[in-house]
Amino acid sequence: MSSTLESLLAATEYPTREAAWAELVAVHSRLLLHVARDLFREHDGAMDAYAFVLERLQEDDYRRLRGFKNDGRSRFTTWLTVVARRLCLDYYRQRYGRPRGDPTTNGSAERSAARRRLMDLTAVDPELAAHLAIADRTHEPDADVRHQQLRDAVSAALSELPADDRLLLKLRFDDGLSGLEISRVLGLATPFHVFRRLNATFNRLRGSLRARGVESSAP
Amino acid sequence: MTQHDSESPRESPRESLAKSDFLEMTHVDAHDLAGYVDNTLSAAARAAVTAHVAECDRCRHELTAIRRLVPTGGAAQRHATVIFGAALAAAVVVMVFALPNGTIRQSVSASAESTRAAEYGTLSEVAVPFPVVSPVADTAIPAEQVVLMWHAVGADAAYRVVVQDETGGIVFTQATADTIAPVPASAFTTRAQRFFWSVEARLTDGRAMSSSVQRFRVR
Repeated sequence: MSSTLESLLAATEYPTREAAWAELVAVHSRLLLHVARDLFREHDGAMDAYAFVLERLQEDDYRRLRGFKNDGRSRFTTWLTVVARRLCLDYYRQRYGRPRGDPTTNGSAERSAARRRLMDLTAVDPELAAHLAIADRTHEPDADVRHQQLRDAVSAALSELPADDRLLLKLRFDDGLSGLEISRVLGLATPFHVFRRLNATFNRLRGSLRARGVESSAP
Repeated sequence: MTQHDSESPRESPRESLAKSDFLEMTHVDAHDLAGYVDNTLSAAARAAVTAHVAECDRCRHELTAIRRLVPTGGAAQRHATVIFGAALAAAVVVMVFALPNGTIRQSVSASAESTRAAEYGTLSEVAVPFPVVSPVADTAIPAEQVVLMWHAVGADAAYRVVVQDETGGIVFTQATADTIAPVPASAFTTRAQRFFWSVEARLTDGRAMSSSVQRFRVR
């Protein structure tokens, strides 16, 4: 546990506690400001969010800080980053409503495009992927049905993948993260490892799609 | 897990996920999210978080954001610094060989090693040079026949070879899964010059190794 946090939580007298709080703020201000500036690009907004975070951390006799469990699950600074970011989001919602980039906002077009790329990548014959685009423009009577069948097959194949493979695909195709970003999120050594795992996942998906009678990305 | 709130929940990820199956959508709590980023969770807890973030856009986006905010300090960074350290060492060796004074050579080399040891840990933790096959020992080779060869260091290892000239400039680099890399003659714009080469290996478990640096001449 952070020594500053220990001092704060152990302090019983008001002056000692105030001094411990001041020390904790001094030690972690850079982290808290970093988090606030990530969500609030303007200086005043970031400083307001920073003040809000400090206020919330202090309230109810440091209830939130007391919530940190020193059970080895995480470092205090990383936990504080998570808490501070959530408080910044609370502040953002209070001030502006739904935050920017909220995943619950409508991104269906982008997701559709990402899913299409995934379908293309898992296709047995990538050259036939062009047919998909052509089929989109020509409204053949059964095109929608065949598209839906293909989508259902891909969804079913995806649902059979292990969770870490599904997460990998989500990060790459739904969220559009780079190989480097994914390697950091998943704790993989390099982007090379990410793409190697992606290739292995594609192969599994192809096998699963073949088993469902899907031989190409053309519906 | 809890609805995005900065407080800590009482239940374990597994319990929380079970709850999400039957009641309402719950989310990853601050400790587990931080632990995932720190890579300090137990295997079971990590698997539970992985399964959740693979399905929950909100938590996955939060995970990505926290990963971006927290300085990288895990295996990925250690790996990257090892690679950088190996490249740095190769550059130092090039410079050292170019220096005429033996005493200076030794002090520069020792200084570089002690700097790396201080920064990254003991040398044995940083990189263990592995031997290469050819070219070695200042061999003179026709520019059209330069083929770099080295010993495999592990199944599925990935390699990157680097050839540098006497100024430390990189004249050729290539990533490969093989243990042989032909260098095109066009890489050597000058003849009768010494070149230095080394290879970095990345193992599937994230460890990195660097070869010894070898000299050769082209004619």
